[in-house]
Amino acid sequence: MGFDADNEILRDFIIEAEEVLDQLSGQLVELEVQPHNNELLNSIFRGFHSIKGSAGFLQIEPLVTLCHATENVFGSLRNNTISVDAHLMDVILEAFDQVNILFSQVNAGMVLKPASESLIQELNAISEQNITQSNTPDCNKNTDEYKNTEEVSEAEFEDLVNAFQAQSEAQSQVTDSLAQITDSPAQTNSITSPRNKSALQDVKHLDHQLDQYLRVNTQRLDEIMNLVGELVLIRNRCQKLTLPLKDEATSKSIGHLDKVTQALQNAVMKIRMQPIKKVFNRFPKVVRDLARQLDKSVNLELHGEETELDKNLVEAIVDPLIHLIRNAVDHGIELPAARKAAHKPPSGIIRLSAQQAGDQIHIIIQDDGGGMDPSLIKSKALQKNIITPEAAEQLSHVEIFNLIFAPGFSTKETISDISGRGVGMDVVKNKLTQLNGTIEVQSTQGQGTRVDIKVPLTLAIMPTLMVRLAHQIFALPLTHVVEIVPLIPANIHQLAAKNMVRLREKIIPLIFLKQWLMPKLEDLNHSQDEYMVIVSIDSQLIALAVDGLLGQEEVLIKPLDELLQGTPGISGATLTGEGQIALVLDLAGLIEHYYTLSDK
Amino acid sequence: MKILIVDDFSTMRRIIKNLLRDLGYENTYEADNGNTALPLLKNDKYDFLITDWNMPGMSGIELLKIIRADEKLKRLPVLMVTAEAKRDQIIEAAQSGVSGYVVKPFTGAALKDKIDKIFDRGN
Repeated sequence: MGFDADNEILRDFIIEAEEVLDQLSGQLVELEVQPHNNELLNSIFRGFHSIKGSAGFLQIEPLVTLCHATENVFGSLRNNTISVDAHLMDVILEAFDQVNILFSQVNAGMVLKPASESLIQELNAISEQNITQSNTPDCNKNTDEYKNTEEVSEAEFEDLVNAFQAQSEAQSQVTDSLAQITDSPAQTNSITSPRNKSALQDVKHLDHQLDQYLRVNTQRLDEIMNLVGELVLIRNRCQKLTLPLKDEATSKSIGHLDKVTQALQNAVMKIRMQPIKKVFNRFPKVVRDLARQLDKSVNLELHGEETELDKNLVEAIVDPLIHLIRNAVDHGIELPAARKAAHKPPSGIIRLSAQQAGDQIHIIIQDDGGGMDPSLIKSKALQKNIITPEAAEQLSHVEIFNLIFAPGFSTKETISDISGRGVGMDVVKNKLTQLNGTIEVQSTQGQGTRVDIKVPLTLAIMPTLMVRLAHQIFALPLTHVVEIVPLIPANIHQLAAKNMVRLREKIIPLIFLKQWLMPKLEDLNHSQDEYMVIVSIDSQLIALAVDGLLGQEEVLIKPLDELLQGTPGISGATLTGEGQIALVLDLAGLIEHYYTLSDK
Repeated sequence: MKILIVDDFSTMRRIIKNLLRDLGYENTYEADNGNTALPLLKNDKYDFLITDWNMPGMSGIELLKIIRADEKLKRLPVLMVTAEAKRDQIIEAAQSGVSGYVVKPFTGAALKDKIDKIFDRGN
């Protein structure tokens, strides 16, 4: 095989093997619950078998050896010569871990470090066992198994093939003669027609099942998605341009363009959708390993695995979700003794669910553990100067719990190796915010904690609210906008040198966006501000004062040029329907940067 | 010669496709399981079938038996691809009408050898 072909095959292998390994991960955990499920055993056997097969061609010897030894254990399991026990599970999981390590070495192009001899020997020892010893029937079984390893000689094989051919020749001769004898068309039809009928039905049935699948490079999909996004912008522009024309033919065409663009957008989005099951599958193992390590008993319940979301999103939320789940096991679920004392069932439950809600995916992680102590969190936050004592007084429970997302926050004195390390919750939140998603935490001490994550279905095209600050246009992500109200100067108050405004019964911070975004503007005349856009960031309501409202628009966000990337508070730019450039605001980043800045 | 390659692992199908191409067989098609393969075999004229043995859904031997029971397909040469040369498996395959078998991993030369043997037999 040529060099290029080898590379392609290796790439194919890596992609496919990864899928198999993902699947095996969930299946191995399932095995403990269903040790006698033959279908499961077959499936697991085939998993290792498939990897072994291709690895052989790619000459990845260590992987072949290990998979072979592992597959043999499952061969014996499904033949019922051995059965699942704790020792077997331990060895199998060790083997699976080693397979994963080898695989990542292959993936990274590193030199392979074969699995230890002792592991291979352990696997072989297990697969060669027999649960009932030294009875005559088993002696026979053993010799049968032994006979099975003998080769079939070429001569023997040829004999069998020839025998089959001779037999089938004889059979067709008989059918032909019969056909000749019973010559009348009606009778020949009756001989053959029942068979034909069922065969026809078979083909029709199979035709319906015929699903064609195509493997597509995701980069190409990204390109298509980008083009669709551009099309959306052009459609917006066309709509604006033709609105004043009031020409029926034109508006009809534009209406049609709108419909088709929508449909195209949805269709492309659908291509990139994958069931979240892909991500959820690896969690049972994560939970099991961690619970074992901490001597806790934890069950992970998965719901809504079929919920679909954009491929890029699926990949992006893996790390945050893993972190949150590990957190739930580590800090959430109590040790068995503590649970018993609290009259809770000995096994903790973590419920991970996903569902679609409008144009967002709603993921909930709920545990029945010890919950969080709001006073403890508040005092830690004060201690780390994350909030001032005055601010601390005003916080609601929900706001206190959301303090755990502040950078540098950790309630454990020594950051545990498991899920602390300071990398934690603030990184999770940042990642989700980057995806235009939100995360909230709620907790009841003694009962449990619930994390709510919302991410939009797609990353590329976003509904926005277009606002005007002086002569410039900015786009606000619509997902954060709660309402829009007129700005009434009489309602503005000052509190500790900060602007606040009354919104019905609440008093919330008021930000004059022009001050932050256009500080050099000659005429910072606040009386120009007509409206307040009320947004929700981290469950906190904030009012943003703007000069004018231009309406809602669905836009494609384009990243800023290299020089401008990283500008705090700006997540990109887009074109409005008028053909003007609008900067897209990253509200959370904006507030984080400017609000704290103004503190100093 | 029109060849159909059946295996649930796409990497494997690609490997076999490439080996066949190196041997000069360009007219190859793929299916990922017996259920999708059967309509293809019945509706188009294939000269040769190479199938994996261990597949979910319909296994290689089940596919073989259906083929051998079909008037149109019963003379189709079938090469079985297996990772093990397990005696009883091979015997059952031969008794069910397989034309030849090859054990993974195999080289292009080994594949050529098997193909020649099948077609020299006057299939």
